[in-house]
Amino acid sequence: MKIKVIYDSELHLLKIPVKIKSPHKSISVFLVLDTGSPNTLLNYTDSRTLNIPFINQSGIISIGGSKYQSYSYNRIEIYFKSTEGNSIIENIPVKVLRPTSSRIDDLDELDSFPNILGLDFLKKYKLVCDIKNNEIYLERLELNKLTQEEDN
Amino acid sequence: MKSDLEMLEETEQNLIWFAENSGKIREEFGGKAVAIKDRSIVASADTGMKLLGELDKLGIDRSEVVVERIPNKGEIRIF
Repeated sequence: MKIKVIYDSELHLLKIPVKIKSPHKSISVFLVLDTGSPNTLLNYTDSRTLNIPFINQSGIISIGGSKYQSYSYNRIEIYFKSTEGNSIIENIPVKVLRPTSSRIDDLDELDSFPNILGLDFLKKYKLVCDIKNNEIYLERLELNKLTQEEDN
Repeated sequence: MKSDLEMLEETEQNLIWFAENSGKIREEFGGKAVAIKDRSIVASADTGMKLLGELDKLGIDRSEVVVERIPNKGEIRIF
């Protein structure tokens, strides 16, 4: 199963269209594919819209020189469209962020960050990235390969 | 109510449109959060939270749009 990735040549970002579903609400978003992020992160406003609770503290995350308190959440489903026209549902633990200070500027800065699909998700997929020929996609790894990687 | 696949198809079309027009969109909406629906910008605001208020005023539910943050012109964002 393959998922098409779309290259935004103006912003120089790789993006994937998805639906994110929490127990409370579903929203459509563009996820930015970021191999430099170890975790999948949801934008602040979107996390509020999805009613994700800031309960399970999960360490400090630094982005662009600012530090944020992260919270983990395991009840999110992310829906992808396969290139064959089917939906693929993945349960991925996500992190949501809050500023460590109460400055409004910090909250605005945090809210300007996109939703990020991180390396935790990419462990389940092979990334093919040929920007020149616009052939960019994720391909689900076979279950036995995933099991071998988990064993190692 | 739309099916999951219909929602995904719409979101994909909106993303393709956005990627093809992100230069022009950035010229007009750099530094703002925008709401995208049916391959057009239907609302914008300085922050995502303010944008939700604008959508409320327009009677548009968040689930009907894609919200995207637009970097300022010339700004390269590294996360």
